[in-house]
Amino acid sequence: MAKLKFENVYLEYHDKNDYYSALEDVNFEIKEGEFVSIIGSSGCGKSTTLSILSGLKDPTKGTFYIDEKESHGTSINRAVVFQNYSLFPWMTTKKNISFGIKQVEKHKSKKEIEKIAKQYLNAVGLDGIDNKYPYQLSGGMRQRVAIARTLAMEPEILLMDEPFGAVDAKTRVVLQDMLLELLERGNEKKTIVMVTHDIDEAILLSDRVFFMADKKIAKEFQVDFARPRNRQDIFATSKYKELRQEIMSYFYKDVKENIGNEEVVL
Amino acid sequence: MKKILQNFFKILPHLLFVALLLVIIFLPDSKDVEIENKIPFIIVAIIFEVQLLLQWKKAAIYDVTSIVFLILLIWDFKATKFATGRKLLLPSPENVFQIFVSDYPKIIEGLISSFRLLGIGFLFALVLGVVFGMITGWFTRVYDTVMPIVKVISPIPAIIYTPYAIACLPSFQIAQIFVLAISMFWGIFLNIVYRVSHVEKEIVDSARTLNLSSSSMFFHILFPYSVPSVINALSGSLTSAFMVLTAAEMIGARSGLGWFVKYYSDYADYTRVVAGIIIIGIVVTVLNIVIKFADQKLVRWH
Repeated sequence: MAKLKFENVYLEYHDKNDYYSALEDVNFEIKEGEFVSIIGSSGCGKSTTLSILSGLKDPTKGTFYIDEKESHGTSINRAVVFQNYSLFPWMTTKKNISFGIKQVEKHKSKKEIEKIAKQYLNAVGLDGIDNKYPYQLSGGMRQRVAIARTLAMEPEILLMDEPFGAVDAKTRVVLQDMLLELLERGNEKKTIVMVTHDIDEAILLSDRVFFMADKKIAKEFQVDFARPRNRQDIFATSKYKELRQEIMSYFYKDVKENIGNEEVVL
Repeated sequence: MKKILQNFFKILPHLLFVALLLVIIFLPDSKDVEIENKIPFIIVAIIFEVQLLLQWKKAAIYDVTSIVFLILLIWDFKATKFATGRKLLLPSPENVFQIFVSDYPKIIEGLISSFRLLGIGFLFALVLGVVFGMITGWFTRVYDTVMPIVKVISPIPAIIYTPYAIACLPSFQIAQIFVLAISMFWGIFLNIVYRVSHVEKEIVDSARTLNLSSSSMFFHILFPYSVPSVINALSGSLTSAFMVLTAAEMIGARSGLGWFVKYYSDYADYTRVVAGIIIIGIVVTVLNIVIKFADQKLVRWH
């Protein structure tokens, strides 16, 4: 049974004298517990796909299913980590996480919620910053808190829109490893979709990689490294190098076809 | 050379302070002037000296204090020590500051009266401004309907309504509250409308993915997000509302600081008039300090 399914999904904007399409006939199925990364150059439709998955946008044509049921709008079994701004700047770290939990566990007492919040802060390696505001944290710490908030909500589906896109290279490695470890630790496997433009990140974390180009899914890649995964081991294999090479070639082909159209970030 | 000059400006306020004290105490007063009590004026001078000593680290405070002492010194020379014909119009500082002591029940009464009106008007403006501001800023349909009308009405200075409001409404107090509420309402309303209608898309998206109810969206997201703009609006409109109030009190009130100044100027009691003006200056300063404090306390996340 597919956890998430797109069936002939289109997203088009009609203005008075403007027509713009962001997605054209996108089809895919994602199984429960699967980790899928969507990569592609800017404007390929990967962020729009995530917006539909998160319920922020509804398809203008076609259908989006969760658990084989048609889905419209947001729901509490999905949680999203954005590149920036997932956190509310007027709430302290602890409040931010508690606020997320409160939306799911409406009956829980304040004390219980704060205890859970503390556990998850601890899990992402942050202690003693409960009462700090987001502006007082580094970009990497903010993303840790954002991940802690989404995980604390214990969603069935975790969606991430370039979660490590705004942090420096070193922090990114640390956060990727942390995410890998956290995902192994959970007792039930979450279904995860992550948008990224980092090929290594996509291969390291996911079971499948969707390569999007020109508002469609152009190619799917299977990533069958065994879990738990280790960065060094995987990057050393020839399988990894071949896969990376193959994805890169699609990137280059896309770049050549769209030269001058979009800025491509690899 | 530069160093010497710098040091001179650091010592200057202290020299002026000593000079001022000596002049107040030892220089004989002009024969035409009756001085009841010099102590309040001396205390004022000491207050300025103490605040200088407390803020000795800030460079600008030295020059500011020097100028204040210089003004007090000139004032004392002109109005007390060498007073000539126009002493009625220029009251002596000793007597002005003595009013703070002798008339203090009347001043407190005036303050309470003014602040009660200001407070009630403020509450109305705050509640209505925040509620309507958030609704107008959030719903595009409401925004498109309301804003063209608002753009016509909001620039009308609130004080213009005063005579009409006094005529229409049952009492001067109610008319005054109405005018005050309007004078503060537009600032709060427009600031909130702007802030809410320009809320970062990422914040809204983040809130929407938490599947918030619309009441939660307003109370937990849009309201806290708007607080800085309320404070921003207040820093301008609270003091200008106070000005509206004092000006209006000169027209029809029987209490309040504006009335105090108007009443005594009718009797040519310029000692009390100047005292009243100084008190209004102090009140406005205190209001601004309170707003600044609220800004630091409430919007620490900004």
